[in-house]
Amino acid sequence: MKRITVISWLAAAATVLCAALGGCAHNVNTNTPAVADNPPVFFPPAPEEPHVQFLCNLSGSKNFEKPQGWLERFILGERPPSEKTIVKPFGVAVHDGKIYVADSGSACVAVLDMVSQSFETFGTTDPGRLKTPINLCFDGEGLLYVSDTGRNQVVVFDANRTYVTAYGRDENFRPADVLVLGNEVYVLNILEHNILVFDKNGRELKRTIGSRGREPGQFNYPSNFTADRDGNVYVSDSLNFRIQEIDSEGTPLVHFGKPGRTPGCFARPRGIAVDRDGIVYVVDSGLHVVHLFTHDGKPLMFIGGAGEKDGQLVLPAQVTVDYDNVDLFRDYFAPDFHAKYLVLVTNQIGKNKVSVFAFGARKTVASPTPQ
Amino acid sequence: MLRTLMILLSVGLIATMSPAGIVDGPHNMAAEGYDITNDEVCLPCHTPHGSSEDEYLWNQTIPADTAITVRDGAVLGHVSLMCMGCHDGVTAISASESGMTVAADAALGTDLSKDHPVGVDYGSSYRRAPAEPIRGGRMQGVKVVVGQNPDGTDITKDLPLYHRDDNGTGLEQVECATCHTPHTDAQDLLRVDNAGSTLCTGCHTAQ
Repeated sequence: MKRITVISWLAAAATVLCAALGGCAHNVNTNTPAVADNPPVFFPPAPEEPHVQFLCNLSGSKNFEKPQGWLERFILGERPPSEKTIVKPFGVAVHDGKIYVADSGSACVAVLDMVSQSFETFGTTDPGRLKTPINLCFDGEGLLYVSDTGRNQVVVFDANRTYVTAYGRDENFRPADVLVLGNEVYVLNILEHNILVFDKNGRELKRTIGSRGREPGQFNYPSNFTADRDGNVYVSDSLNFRIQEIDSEGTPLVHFGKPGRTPGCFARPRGIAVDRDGIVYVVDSGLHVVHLFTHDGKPLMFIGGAGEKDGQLVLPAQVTVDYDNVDLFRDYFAPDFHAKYLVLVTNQIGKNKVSVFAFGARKTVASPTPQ
Repeated sequence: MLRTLMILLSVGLIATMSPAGIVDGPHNMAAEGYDITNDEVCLPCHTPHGSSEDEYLWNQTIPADTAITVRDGAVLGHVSLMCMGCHDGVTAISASESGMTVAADAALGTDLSKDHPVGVDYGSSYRRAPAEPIRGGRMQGVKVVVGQNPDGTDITKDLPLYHRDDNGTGLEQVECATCHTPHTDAQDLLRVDNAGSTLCTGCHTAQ
């Protein structure tokens, strides 16, 4: 009887001490409190059936700071602020529990490590010193490719963040985006309105896709591209105000979109992503939304809207979808919403650098498929 | 022959209709095959309403043909936001790298020697030319003297300031379009040539 009392007294003391020292928080401290404190933000908003839930905003080291406990503050004093923040994000990719962001404002790749809860940067030392990193992608072996319009090269880093090589010493291009499909590296050359395809191992130029114009298969200032699981490429053909799907040889397959502010139209299409069921996400930096379309171009809905409140966007740049790391944000899921995959959007201006959403459905309804 | 005449006529029409200089300047981003007579050179910035019979399949509360509107709730005025949509170092030279400091950017730093702020209140203060109504009283701006008429009166050009109701102060702000205009092929797309610092001293007066 006495032994149990002593143990329970010790346990109680330990709990108090733990809480006093700042808690054993599992949650990432994002700019948004966990969902329990705020009503969840859904798109489309009620009374429509929700398909996307806003989860949280991330900006840098502030998201991983544990709040200082009263005991620590009493003994050590107020902890001085030491915040490191993403400055001007563009491309974003999720890999192995970490969110990688191309930050042209700090000329680096910023890494939000959601597992170890830390914020780091790299790409700031020669020979891998970045100048204007815009977009990035991983290949199947974990190598990171960064398209840099200041260096006019695609810079490659390995899993240890060590510089490996750079594409573009001989060719004259401005790489707005980069994709690795199989053994080929695709570089979106916004300067010449075409796509250069390199051999991944030998780095020689294999073929050039596209030219400037408005016919299918031609582009006008194409700013971003992505690929689906069949290896087809979706190009955000910005100043033709359309999305074009082409195959690996450049044969035009599908295109949709026209200039405007009504459903199915674009003001300034930029970043692009495709989910496994063919839903196409298109960032519109003019309307500050991300449009969702069916594979053949029927408008489904949009998320965002201009502003800094939860779920809003400011000068959004890029969007990416991720199926493998959904659980990292489970603390933010609304209780009746089943999250299928993450949708991350970067904002070039304002305090919300990376906005994290989840695509899914209400738990009582089966996952919707587009008509 | 008739075709040549039609083309010449169209060119003549453009010269009178469209803002002078944009067709010849760097903001003509129309590709081959664009129909300039239909003002398609205006599309990258002046997004039309867009006629659409489509409805959002997943949001039937928004009727077809309803336009998304952008309010000025966001950090920077909508004029500068639009410029920065392309001037991000991808489509065109980055605004931040060419010496403009965006007021909302976290990395203002302490060395502003080559920067000019954007998205800041113009204010009325010492060593600042007064803002006055321009463009028929529709907005406020600064009138810069760029020359003299034969009769001795000033020739002035307007530098517009942009009002944002929700910026807390309700004051006029300096935006990209205060000093620059895309509707021109002038050097650096400036509204007023900066030879002799004419543009700078238009606002930053000696007393």
